[in-house]
Amino acid sequence: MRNMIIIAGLALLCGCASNKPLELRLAVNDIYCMDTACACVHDVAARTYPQTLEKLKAGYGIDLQLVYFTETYQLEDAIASGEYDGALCKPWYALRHQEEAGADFRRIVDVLDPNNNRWLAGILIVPVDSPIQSLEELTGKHLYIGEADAYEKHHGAKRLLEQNGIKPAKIDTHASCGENVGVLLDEEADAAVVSDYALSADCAVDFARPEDFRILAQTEQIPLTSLMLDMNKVTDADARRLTAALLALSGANVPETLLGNGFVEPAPWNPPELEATP
Amino acid sequence: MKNIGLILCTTLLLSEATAKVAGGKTTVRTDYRIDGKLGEGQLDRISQITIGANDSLHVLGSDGKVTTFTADGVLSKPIETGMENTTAIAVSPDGNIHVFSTLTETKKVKSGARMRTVNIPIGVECGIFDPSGKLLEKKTLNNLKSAKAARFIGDTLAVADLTARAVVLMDAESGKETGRIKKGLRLCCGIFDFCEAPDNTVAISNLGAFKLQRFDLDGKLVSEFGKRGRDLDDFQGCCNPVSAGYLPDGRIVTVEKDPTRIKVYDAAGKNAKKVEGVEELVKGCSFVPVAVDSKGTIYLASSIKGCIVKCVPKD
Repeated sequence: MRNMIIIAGLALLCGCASNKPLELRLAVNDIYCMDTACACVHDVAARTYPQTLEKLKAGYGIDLQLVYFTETYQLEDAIASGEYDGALCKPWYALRHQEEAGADFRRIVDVLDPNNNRWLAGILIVPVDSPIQSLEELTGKHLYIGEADAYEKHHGAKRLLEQNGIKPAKIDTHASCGENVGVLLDEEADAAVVSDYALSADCAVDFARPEDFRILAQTEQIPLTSLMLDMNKVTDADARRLTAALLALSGANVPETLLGNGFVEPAPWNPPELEATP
Repeated sequence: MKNIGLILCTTLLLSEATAKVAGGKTTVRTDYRIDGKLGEGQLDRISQITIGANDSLHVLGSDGKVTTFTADGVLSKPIETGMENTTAIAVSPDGNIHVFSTLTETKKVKSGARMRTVNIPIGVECGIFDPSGKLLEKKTLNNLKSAKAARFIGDTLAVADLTARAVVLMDAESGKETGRIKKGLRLCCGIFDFCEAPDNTVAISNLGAFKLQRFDLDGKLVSEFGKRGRDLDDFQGCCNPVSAGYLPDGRIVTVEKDPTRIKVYDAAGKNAKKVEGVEELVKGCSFVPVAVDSKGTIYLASSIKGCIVKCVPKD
């Protein structure tokens, strides 16, 4: 009888612990979310989160408060301020500010895009009628890549060139994919690196067609969107609780408005640039 | 001693002109202040705004209504043009008000698995009104598919045709087309605006390229500035600027939508200063019309708030 009481008590305690309301405030910028994407791509960037938030609250006692940032510079400033419990965005936006924010970000899930893709890469493109046929031919040419805040089209692009021994005569940077597409349309450069969604889910869709360009190479694949928690603010148990809840709201149980299969365990990714940080 | 005085003065001036913002970055304040709002709660679905006779401000609604404020902000009797889907307005040198309506036909198109109805622009109608609102003439501009903005540049009528993705130049008198400015335009979000610039030029808000570009009436690029970036001289958001205007002293005012930023650049498009205190005028990718009068007053239209924000030079 005494044992029965102890087991019942433990179960009650465990139950209380798992149902204890958990409030987390996240900074959000998601390529495919209507609240952060440009209106010109709202046909593909049509994801919304409120339905998922309601289910998290009702079913798991987790209150995720999302603060949307359409401008990624503002998102990064917000993350660097250390005022958030985490972020839902391209992981590099958060990871590169980890030290400044005094944070210890852990990617707890990756977010699938509407086509259930979890990866992001930079694509090295040339105009479709360019005489350049291979990556090797870019040595001695003029190339535009992204800026340092865009991992796939800056660090990834530099590594791609380095690994293949390509030495362009000039490498310039632009902050937006649209500007990099623009230098090709204006014939100001030989090739450019843009994010792989640039011609389908970026403002460039309004003035450039995928068939006008040829892809010469692709940078390494990295996670597209992750939900990250600052483990200096969130307990390990709470992180695991949120992970479990998000994974439970995926696949067959995914809220319709997420427009894909939801969340998956995070793919391993350790950007070497972080290790180089003193 | 004189040097110390100079250093002190410079320091004071600098501290006056700069302000700390979040993240420890500094921004530079401009010499403009907000001087209230016009038409709050009275203006609906603002398409465009323009300056008329005696620095009056004309506000065009997409429902064909033209609301006019005097330079002192007094509301005049509105003009009911009777036109629909009115998308652009311009005042000719003789003071007449030209209102442009984009004609459309509805079409069903497949979008993913769904069919949806869209309005396809098929032409432009122009109604010409005298300042009292009397209709003088109505004509169809056969060379245009749509009109997002219109300005008179000397003897030339320039119209931003989003469907053609060009600023179409026409002889103001005969309506005969004299040229098109098209090269390098990276338009997106259905926004296409330009303003009159010095020396008979037009400055196009090439938002997808993050540039303000000035062209002569032969379509030649005269000057440009802007790129996406973190600095105050740069433009932000997914595509900006959405509109611009030239101040009487040659400086340039630019408008960024969301996050809303109003900045004043020098005549060379450098040394931007931010107009402080302007709240978010739109949410997401929406157009913010701007107009500048002869005294340098800047008017900004917020279609979601249904009002005009007035900014004046500080005394």
